[in-house]
Amino acid sequence: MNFEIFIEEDRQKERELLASYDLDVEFFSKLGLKIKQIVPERNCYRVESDKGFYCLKKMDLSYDDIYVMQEMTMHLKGNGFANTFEIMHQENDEILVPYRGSQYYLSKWMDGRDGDYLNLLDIKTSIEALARFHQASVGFESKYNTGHRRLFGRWKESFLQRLNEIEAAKIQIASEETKSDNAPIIAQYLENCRQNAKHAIQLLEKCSYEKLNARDESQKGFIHHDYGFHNILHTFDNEIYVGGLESYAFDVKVHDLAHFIFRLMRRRGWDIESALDMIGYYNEVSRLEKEDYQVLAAYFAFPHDCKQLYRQHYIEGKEVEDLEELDKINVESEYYQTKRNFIHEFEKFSRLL
Amino acid sequence: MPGSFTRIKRHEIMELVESEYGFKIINMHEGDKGILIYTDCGIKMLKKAKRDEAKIQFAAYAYEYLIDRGFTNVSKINKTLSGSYTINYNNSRYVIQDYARGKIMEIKTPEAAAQAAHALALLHKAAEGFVPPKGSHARVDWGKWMDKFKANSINIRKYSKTLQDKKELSRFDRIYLKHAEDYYEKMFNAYLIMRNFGYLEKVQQSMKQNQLIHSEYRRHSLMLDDKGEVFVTNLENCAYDIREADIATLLESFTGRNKAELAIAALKAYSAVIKLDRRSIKVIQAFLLQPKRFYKVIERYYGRKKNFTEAELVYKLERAIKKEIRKAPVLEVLEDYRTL
Repeated sequence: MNFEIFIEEDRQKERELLASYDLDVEFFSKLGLKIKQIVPERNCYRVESDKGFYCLKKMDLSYDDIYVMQEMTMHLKGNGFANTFEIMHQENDEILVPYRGSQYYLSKWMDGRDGDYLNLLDIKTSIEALARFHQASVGFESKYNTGHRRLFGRWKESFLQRLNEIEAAKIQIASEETKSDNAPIIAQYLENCRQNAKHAIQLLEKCSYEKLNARDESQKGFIHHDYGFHNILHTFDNEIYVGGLESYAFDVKVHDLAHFIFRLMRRRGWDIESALDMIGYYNEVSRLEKEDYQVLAAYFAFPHDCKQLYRQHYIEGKEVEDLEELDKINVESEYYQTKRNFIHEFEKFSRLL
Repeated sequence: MPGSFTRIKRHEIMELVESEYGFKIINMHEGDKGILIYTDCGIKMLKKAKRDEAKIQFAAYAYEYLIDRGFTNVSKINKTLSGSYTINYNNSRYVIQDYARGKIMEIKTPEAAAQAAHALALLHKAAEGFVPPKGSHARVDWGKWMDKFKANSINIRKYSKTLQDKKELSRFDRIYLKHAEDYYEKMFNAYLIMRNFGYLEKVQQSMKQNQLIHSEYRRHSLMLDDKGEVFVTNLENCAYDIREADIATLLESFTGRNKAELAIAALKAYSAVIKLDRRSIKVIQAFLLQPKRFYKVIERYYGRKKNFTEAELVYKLERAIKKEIRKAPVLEVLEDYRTL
């Protein structure tokens, strides 16, 4: 289960990934394309050919996963949500193109812009699209194995695992012989993360998490599992396209919403009113119930960004020099206090429903 | 070539330009902003491109779009014979633009202000509905200003709070603290005006229309050509945003004692082409009210990028404060919209 969602985009990783593509004339003639230009874009190549623009990707998923992904795209399309990136079929009706031991696939290239976390209209349309995505995902069945992507009922297990990691990090920092200048701040931060993680687990135990799982599992829907602006494309004809379906999972729908809001709150500041507005946008399309709010409260209470913030020190052994980063882990800082208030307020709100 | 283009060899450039563009070069010499090239297809300007190909492509298409839609007083970026908008020389990228004769526009009279604003309105009209072609990289500023102002106001307070514990204040700190609260209020009020006077509706409208704006529409981007018409330059930074942002930039660039008079003339002239409603005026007011220059300097000093010395930043801060004060007459005009 992947809750590690706050690792910033890794350009180096993308460059390495793109360098591993084995592109040559023979490969493109196999694709049946006459190439005019190839431009690297994030983790894929934009291919301009005699037949138009395409997005070329090297497969880094299992066979089952890629076919499930295609099934999902078709399922969404069949249910009225056509704004995803469909993998193109080759002449032999296959979606994958094997070449020198790797598999590649093409999808239609869409031009547009990324959403802006400061633009409330982008936020609104993205959340509405998420709600429509969830609605269209209902009733999905796959002929492939999807067991490894089933996350229903596994939040507690994942939270506990992350709690153990936090405790291990705390012990390591305490046992360091040469302590860095920021060590006390990080130690205090980890202690707070530990307490917050425990609190989130308690919230999860007390709330109707199981009922919510039963409800969403019975609907046979799926979630995006990496829903953020990096996977949302706004075209210039005011359409919105959702990409990055590679991370798909089967879990409660609020997982996507919680993930999206958590990311935005980190960047925009922890403002309860704007979070409730965002939930409101979702509600306008697909109504959330009391148990959804309770599970959201547990999600927000968990320190999902903990690892990202202490990893510099804990994993890479570096001093945290960025003042803004330091501000985020300093429990005395305004940022931290606002976040704490947010969690408290949201919890109170979810109980009042 | 002499001057700032010493690394450019005349014969190499001549050969390159002639082969890439198909022009016949008659003469060339160094100008203020690039190398002037006299060709059989008119006078051109060779400029070093500061952006990547996709961004240049976006600007180049924007120029062409405006010209196609009747706004011809811009200098388009020339295409090479192979269809590219740039050429490579000495590991750098260069563009060739049409050169326009003229002088920098002085906006000292209400007539000149009206002329500049009228041209802006025509540019905005022509720039509606622009869809960038595939492969270009669009600059998009839609919807970000309101929350940016809010975030900036929070930062001003944060910096002030940090200074409370500082034992020895620098000269910069002292100047900053003297003005911090005043500028916090201005920044926060700018946010409130945007929130309460339909900024998001303006953005929504602009998004629906795919409204492109100039982004640097100020005195220095305007020239008066030989016919006395406004010629618009510096369109390379054009972006998707609301029109009010350009109007605010123009009003802010007015200097002299008759700024209020100039602002009124400009708003009237613009409104004669594209009607400005009360909300537009309020949004323009918010753009002008936010202490952009002051914030830029303090962010350099207290934020992440510290690429200037203390003395330089003190000078910049003092200058920014003076410029912020100079906006007052235009803000008064905007406050009293009904008099227009």
